Amino acid sequence: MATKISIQNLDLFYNEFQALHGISLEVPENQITAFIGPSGCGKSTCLKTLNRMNDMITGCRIEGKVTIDGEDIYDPRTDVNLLRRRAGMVFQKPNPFPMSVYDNIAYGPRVHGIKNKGQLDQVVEKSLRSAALWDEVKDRLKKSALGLSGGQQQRLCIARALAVDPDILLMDEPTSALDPISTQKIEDLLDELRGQYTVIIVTHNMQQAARISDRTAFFLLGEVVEFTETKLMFEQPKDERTERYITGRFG
Amino acid sequence: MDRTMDGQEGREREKRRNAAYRWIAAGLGAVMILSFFLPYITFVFRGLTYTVSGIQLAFVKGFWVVGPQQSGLVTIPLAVRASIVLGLLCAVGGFVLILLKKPVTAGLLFLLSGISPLLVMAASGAIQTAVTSLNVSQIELQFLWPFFCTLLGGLISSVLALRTQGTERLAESVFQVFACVSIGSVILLTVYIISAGLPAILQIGLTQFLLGESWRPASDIFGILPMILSSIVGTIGAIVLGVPVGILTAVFLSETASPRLAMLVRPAVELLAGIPSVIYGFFGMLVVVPVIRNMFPEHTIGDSLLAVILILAIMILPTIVSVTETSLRAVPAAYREASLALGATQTETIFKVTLPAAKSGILAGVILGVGRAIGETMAVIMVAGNVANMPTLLGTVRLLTTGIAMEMSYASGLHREALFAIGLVLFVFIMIVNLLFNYISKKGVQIHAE
Repeated sequence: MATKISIQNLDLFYNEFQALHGISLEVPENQITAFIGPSGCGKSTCLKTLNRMNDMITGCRIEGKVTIDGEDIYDPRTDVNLLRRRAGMVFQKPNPFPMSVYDNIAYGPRVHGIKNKGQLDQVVEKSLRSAALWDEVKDRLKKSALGLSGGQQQRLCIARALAVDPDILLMDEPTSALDPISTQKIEDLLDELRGQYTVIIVTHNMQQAARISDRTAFFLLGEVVEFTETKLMFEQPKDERTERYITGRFG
Repeated sequence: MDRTMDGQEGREREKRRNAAYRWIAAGLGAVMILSFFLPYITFVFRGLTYTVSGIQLAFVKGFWVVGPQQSGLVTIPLAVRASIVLGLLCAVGGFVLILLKKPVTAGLLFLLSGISPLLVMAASGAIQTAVTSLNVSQIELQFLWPFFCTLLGGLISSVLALRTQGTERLAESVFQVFACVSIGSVILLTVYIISAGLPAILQIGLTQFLLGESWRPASDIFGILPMILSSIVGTIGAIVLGVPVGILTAVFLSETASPRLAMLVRPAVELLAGIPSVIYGFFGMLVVVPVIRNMFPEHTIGDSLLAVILILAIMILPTIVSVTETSLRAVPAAYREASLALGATQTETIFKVTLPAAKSGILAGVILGVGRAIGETMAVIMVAGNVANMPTLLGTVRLLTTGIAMEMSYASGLHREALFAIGLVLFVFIMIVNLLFNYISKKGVQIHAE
């Protein structure tokens, strides 16, 4: 399996505080990789280094190397907007724009220069279908996206991310604000996206990681304790700390 | 055990105290009622002394004053009569209600009654003016102690009446009263403006007044179309210039400026709001007007609509900047993140997501700016040239506000009333602007509540 994202010896500082310590990960292409770990262990921070959303935080500093398809994304010549287009992101709380469903999806393509109405219609329909939302919203494309339910909003956000045709999807606890049924739908959706996108999902829910991911990384205090196939991790964790965490005996 | 005893004792004590308050309040109420029948005001002029009781103020038609050249009936203004009658009724009502143990309503009535002497005081200035106009000089007004009895009795008994409800209710009532004072001022002002402005409009004729193109008070020609148009054009011009600058400044402050730079720029912009408008006028006279004169020496003396627009544009900046910045800051960070994560640049994010999301707030800021521009007087007087011409960019103009301010000091008769009528027109303009503002800001709230 080819490596899509490679993180080598990544240290990340918020001013004086070091949030990540020497992270090294090889994320394989077109698989679902889960980041698990207790709160504040750096998994979301690590996720955000991959599309450089950390750039916006003042005092955030990075050492080490992150490459996508072999290109160093922290190289000064890197086009950050292009990077973010390639690595779509879905946030913890659904955050549709206060616009119509259609305009939400069309936002990304429009920003990247697609003006043709027919082409936009196509992209919108395709993205909504990929996010398994088309049937629910096809009659209300012109209505405000804020009128959708939380679960629909989150799938809309996934569709919005898919609309700019990324090859990576970064998901930061995408189901933590949703009810079980909506969560189920998102997990089903992820299952369908498997093989087409390289997905990294941060989750607090270990069952979720076990259900949907191919590989899992266990973070603790800013370090990666263990990174292996999900099945292996949950059945035969190598590290004692991993075992204690996944069996819920973490102290 | 002890505590319950204390509690019971405390309640007993409070009950006794409240009863005492109630009786004192009732007593004061009786004194107030009485005071209306006692001598209220003494007018002294031409060596003669007229003493009038409260009840006489309400029912006597007026004083027949024999002046040196002319004589006339000095009527007691309607406002005085109304407030006396109202005060008396309120005092009686309060007195009855406090005995019926309805302290809250009673307290409010006492308060209203206590305010009535203040209204009398305010309106009695009109009596003085009327007497003076008969060429009787040296008139004196003395307010007598029953007058103050009503005033103080009203205030004290209203507090006592409310106090019987416990401190919490007292506090609530005080808030209520102050709210009533604000609303009351608005209502009073509205009624006053309408009653002062309407007669002239009726006399001149609505269409002639609003659509008449010339303003010649000396010949009794009162057309204010040039002023209305100048006000509108001046305001629109200020908005067209000021809004883009203001919005972009706000974007700079909330989105792109480093915190340190924003900390320098923001107080500077806020300072603009605190500068007295006469200073803007100075700036306009000494800088803007000469520059315009030098740029178009053939066409203008400098004092012009253009100068007005420039000055107003600067004056509305702080309003627009601060309201816009506040609403930009209120846009959830999640919207910006979502946009940036889609690969949009910061500029695209600002113009396509953040500004549209804040649009209702921005619109509110613009409307507040409109309100400020329409109402501005002093700075405009100093740069407008103040001739009631139809508005042209380089010509001198007179706005509604300056029209009033220029002539109020010497106008009399219909001319004076016409100025009040201009005030009424201005008032209607401001009302419309404010209603618009309320409508839009409510709409904004609805959008965020979804």
